[in-house]
Amino acid sequence: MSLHDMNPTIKFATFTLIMFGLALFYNPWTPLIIIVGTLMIQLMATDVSWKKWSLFTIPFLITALGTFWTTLVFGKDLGGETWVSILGQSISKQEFAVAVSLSMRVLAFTVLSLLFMLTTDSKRFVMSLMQQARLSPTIAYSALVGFRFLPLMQQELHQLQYAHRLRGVPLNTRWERIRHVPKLLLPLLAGSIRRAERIAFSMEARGFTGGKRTVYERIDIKPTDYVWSCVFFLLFGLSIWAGI
Amino acid sequence: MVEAKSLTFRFPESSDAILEDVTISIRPGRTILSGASGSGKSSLLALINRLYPENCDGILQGRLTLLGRSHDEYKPGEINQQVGTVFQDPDTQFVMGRVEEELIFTLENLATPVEQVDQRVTDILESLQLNDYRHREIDSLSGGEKQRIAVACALVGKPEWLLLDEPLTHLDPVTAYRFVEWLDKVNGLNVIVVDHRPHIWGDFFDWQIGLEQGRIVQNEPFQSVDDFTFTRSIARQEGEERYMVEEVVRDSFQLKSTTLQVRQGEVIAILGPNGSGKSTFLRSLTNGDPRVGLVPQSPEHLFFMDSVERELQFGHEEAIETVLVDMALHEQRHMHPLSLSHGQKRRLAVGIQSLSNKSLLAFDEPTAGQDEPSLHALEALMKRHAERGQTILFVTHDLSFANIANTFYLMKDGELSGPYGDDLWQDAKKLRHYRLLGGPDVTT
Repeated sequence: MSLHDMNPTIKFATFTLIMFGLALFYNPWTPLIIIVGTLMIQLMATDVSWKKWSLFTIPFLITALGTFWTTLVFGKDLGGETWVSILGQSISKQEFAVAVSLSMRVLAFTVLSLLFMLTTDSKRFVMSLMQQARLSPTIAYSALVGFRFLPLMQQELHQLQYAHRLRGVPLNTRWERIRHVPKLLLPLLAGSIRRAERIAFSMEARGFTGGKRTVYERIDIKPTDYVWSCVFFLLFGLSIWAGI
Repeated sequence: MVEAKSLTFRFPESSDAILEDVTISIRPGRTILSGASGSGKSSLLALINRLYPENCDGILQGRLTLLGRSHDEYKPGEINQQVGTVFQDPDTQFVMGRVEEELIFTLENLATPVEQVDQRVTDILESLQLNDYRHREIDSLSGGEKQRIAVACALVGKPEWLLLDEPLTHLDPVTAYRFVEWLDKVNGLNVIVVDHRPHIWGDFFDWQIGLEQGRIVQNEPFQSVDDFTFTRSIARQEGEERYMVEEVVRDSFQLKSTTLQVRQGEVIAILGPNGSGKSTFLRSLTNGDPRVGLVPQSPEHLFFMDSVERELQFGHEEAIETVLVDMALHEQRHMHPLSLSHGQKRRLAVGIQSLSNKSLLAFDEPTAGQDEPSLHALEALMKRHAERGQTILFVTHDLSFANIANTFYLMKDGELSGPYGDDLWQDAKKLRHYRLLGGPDVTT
């Protein structure tokens, strides 16, 4: 019963509801329980690479720390007894609790999103949205084509940069490359439009018109999907209880 | 299959007709539509599979009957059940990741009952001898393999007709030859091919239709033709220069370092199949040597200013007037470089290089997708610059065009061999070894 097999749409709906729910609770314990619980599920029911996970977490960790610090130092003065004093700022226990709550919330969002991202195949997600959430095939397959185009665009970008460097445009430092970006946009856009037109013709020539079509690979909703959904909502319930 | 009577077609934004008074009848069998760029052959093909006129709001007059019904009686996508199409660019024909998924996507579009899908996929792969590709990632395939998969996708819906729009453009000669040989074995297929270089197809066709500026100029049984002919450059060669090509190592590929000894006025062709390292060689040659100018395969990659004038004036103070006249671009001086025609873009690219006094002009695959007039224009351009004492070097897998060169080098697996003279053409064994000549299997 791996989380990888859970129906992507149900997973998406579950996680989204919990994230909206989290925004209503303003204490450090609710997000903390969510973080711990999510990580335990990730440890037991998935084969997510922890190395990859850690790398993805770094920027969010910095955001969380930033949130903590700015709330602590620049947040609204809630008065109350001075608990500790940092850099001449007196900080009360309430202020500290607010800062912890906010940064914990950032981390809880991160942990949930990463669990979704790392256990969901993008193609299966799009297929499932099409079947369970009535996403139109035109949009769904356009998204799939978009995924395929990214490496092609990257390749074209490298070719352009190479050709422009040959013409004597300095592109050695990062700043020089960034400054040159506006000049690359038009050729890149022109190339993408040409490719998009070709693929659109190709799709239509193969009978893809947004009309009636059959579905070969069914992505069904299984009882285990609801079980998983319940597990996450139970975790959420537990975290609310812990926060009261 | 196709009956056209006094057919006239034009785009709404222009008053020039793309097709004018076309009356033809295409019968079952194998037909080629040939003609130069802009002759209307691709538009005619797009009318046959009904991508036009809807998708371009084109204006169509006259009568066009497809498979016994008037063209406007078909609903969008309806005719694509009976007509399959393969396009020229192998990179923009696929939606899904794997070969099997792509075939399934097509069958789903045609509303094939789910229980038949698996069998249909197996059948088509088997009949085209593509079984091994079923679970391969499409992006990992070569251009020739991708075109075969595109044919499989076009045929999986069991169409009565197969249309191919310049399917060999991006393939090297051996791959192209193999593709034609393979297609030849597919039985009972009615084919319409658009191509401006019919010679690679040998005697594949039964019927040929030639177009010129939107009019039918040829409508007769097919006769195999020789390729266009090109003549050797006779520019005077003098002096001697050396260029270093440094080693490049990338993944499993290695480009060996070499020193290139060239003469001013010499025209050099570097020959090799796709993936042999020709482009990497050019990169290494141009990298950091200010004497070398490069015209990329897509010349527009060089452009980033908003007018021809500014493009030529970029980075220096010299006068551009002579170059503008020289390259016949003076009337286009205020136009945006990206809005030029392919030939004009190429001339602009060469113009840019001549302003910076390059002694060696390198062209990356300059012949891909070019029709006869455009190839001869390229020939003239290269010869002119050779006569002015520049060294011209181009990489190509186009053996006919290579005839303009004085000296040849061969490239395989990142290793350059040469120089060779004219006697290279007598050495069929060597050409086969370098995958430049079709025919019997390559033995090493």
